[in-house]
Amino acid sequence: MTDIAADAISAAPAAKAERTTVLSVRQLTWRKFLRNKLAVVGLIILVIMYLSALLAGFIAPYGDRETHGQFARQAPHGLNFFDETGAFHPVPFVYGLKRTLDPKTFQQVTTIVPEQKYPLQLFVKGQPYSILGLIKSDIRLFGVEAPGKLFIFGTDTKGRDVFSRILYGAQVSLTVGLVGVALSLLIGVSMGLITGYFGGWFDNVVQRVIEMTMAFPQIPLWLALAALIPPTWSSAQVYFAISIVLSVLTWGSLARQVRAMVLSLKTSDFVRAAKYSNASTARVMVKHLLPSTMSHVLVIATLTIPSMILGETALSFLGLGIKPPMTSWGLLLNEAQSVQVIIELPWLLIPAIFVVLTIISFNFVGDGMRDAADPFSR
Amino acid sequence: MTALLEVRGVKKSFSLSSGIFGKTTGEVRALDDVSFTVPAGSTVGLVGESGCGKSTMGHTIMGGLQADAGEIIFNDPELGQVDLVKADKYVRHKTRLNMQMIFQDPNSSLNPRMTLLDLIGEPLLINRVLKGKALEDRVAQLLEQVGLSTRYMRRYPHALSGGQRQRVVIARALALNPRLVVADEPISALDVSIQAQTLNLMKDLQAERQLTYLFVAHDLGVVNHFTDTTVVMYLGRVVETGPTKAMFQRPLHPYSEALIASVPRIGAHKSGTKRAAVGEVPSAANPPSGCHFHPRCPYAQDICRATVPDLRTVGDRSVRCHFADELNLAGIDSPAVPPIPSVASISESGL
Ligand SMILES: Nc1ncnc2c1ncn2[C@@H]1O[C@H](COP(=O)(O)OP(=O)(O)O)[C@@H](O)[C@H]1O
Ligand code: SF4
Ligand SMILES: [Mg+2]
Repeated sequence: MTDIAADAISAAPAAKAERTTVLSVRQLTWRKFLRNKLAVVGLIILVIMYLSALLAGFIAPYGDRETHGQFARQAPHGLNFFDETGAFHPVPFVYGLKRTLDPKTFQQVTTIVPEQKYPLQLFVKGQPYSILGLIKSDIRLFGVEAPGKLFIFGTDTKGRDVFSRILYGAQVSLTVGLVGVALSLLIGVSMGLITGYFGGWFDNVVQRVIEMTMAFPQIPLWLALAALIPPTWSSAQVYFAISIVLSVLTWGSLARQVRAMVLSLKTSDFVRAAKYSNASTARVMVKHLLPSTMSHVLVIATLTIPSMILGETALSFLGLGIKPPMTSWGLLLNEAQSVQVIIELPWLLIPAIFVVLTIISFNFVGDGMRDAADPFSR
Repeated sequence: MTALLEVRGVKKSFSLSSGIFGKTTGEVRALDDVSFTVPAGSTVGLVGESGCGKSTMGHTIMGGLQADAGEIIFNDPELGQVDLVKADKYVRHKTRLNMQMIFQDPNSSLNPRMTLLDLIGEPLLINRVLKGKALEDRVAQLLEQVGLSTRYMRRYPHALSGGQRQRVVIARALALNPRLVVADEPISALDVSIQAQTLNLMKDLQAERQLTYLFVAHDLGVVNHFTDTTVVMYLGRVVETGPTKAMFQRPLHPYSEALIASVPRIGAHKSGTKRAAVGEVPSAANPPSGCHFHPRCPYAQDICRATVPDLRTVGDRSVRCHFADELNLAGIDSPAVPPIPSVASISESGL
């Protein structure tokens, strides 16, 4: 009789199968994610964006509050490979700028000075900056020599470089959603676990609260809550207050989905098996229920981040969110509110492109994660 | 043989609710006065069509469900005789060290996010029996005992075949070295080709470790070879109990006769005189009056529709039928021809 049992072992899997069989669920999920090309592109874009935000001080040619007064409202002026004679320059350069007053219109006009050419340089000395408060330096990735100016995306009404400010603004815009999602994950998942597992009056109360928050229209509620933030708060305090405001509306739906999953999982055989081995409630929750809901939860979280980024942008655009001297994409767009400004300085809308790009990327990644979340389905 | 487990008059109902306010609209009597005995060291089969309350019985014994009435007496090596229905947390924890469950579907009873080491080691870890290297050694030993390579220790269940997964479930059930193993249809989710292997493994392990099995099955095919005594259930009630051999030779209840008749055998008459149960299993929420079996019973008479028969003792057997004494029911044709260990369903309906 035992020889039949031994047969099962001797049926050793082939060498190739051997390698794939030891993969964990996470590895299988990752493999499946990589098969979705759009999701991979989205992920790459996001990685680049977040790295740029982290290294904003290094990558931006100028500091976020550095003003170039005489060059306010400057249109983008790019790098040139060919000069006015048509000669090719292997290292791109920018022309020098000169501000004059148009005698007829009394408006400032900028003219380029063909004789002045400032080649692009790497590792230029600029304003000092720090990365995460750890690395302090004044060497910036690229720039041009002193009297020359490099305004890839132009300057705003106060003469600040838009490109540099988009990078600094990303530090707030890209992370406020993450902090908000982390908060709603924390609240939503623990509420979902507890209400789903124990039920009872607490579950009833929580469900009614969630229904109430979901009954409110999102933007007006955000506005109302943001308006409650005291104007005396520092920008760091405002930052966290905004992320709390953003998470107020999202934890509920997360808690509901976790609750629904826990309801079905808690009577599943593997949870019963753990209980029949004397597993404590805490162990069942942390070792069995939580990991089983995690992949789904991360997908929801990823798909929630875009709405949070939009939320921050909307609040800051309306002047209820991030406040100066901190900057964010919403705050940058705040300057482009009037039609007048948009007509005269259309480059101030460039931050919107980054908002859209980020949101599309997050949606691609979220879709890819959703498809990959169940690695056993084909 | 002393009884390791004795189930006495256990009742369990589920209320059916509907509508948004969860109004109770009815109830299912999943267990209606169920009694049977599991002698130490033996294998008792619990048989009946799907939905008759077998799993409910298993989970009530394990403490996953709370019985409404009755007693479940367990003879614990340390605590002595305890009633599991009234057991407090301490008694439950203690007795669970001596009773474990094998589930029907290994795909759902193994957490897909845990390695075999974590899965099989979990009972030992939770109950603080072993940890660290000693735990690993013990898991390796258990893997070998169920016929799996120790190389599989850090793999995940999805990397194994169905039969191998069920071996993992068996290894986990044996980790704490229990006396009683409740096996809830342990082979019905497996390929026919590996069902016999798995049964053989369970038999070998029983011999090595003096295990007692409560073996749940939805047909009698497996039970004939595997069990010493058999308990036949129909819609929440026990209809016949007795030594398996005697029951197969001469069943006392028409339902048992039908179950035996539907076991496929080598050399069985093609045009048998035995009568298999016809029709569908009635709804458990709305069971027939009197004897639950009467709509399908070829011997039913007026009294069967009106009065519930009692479970009567006949020697070492018991039966719940008004005409048990008068009927001369057919068992297997010739005990000399061994039936093949196949797990075929007894009828298309209800399975
Ligand atoms: N948790 C539950 N809630 C309501 N009804 C249940 C529940 N569990 C089982 N039942 C009902 O009890 C009866 C017996 O079920 P079960 O014990 O699973 O049968 P078996 O294992 O014999 O197939 C069925 O009618 C089933 O619908
Ligand atoms: S009591 Fe009547 S209906 Fe029930 S099994 Fe016996 S003969 Fe059939
Ligand atoms: Mg069952």
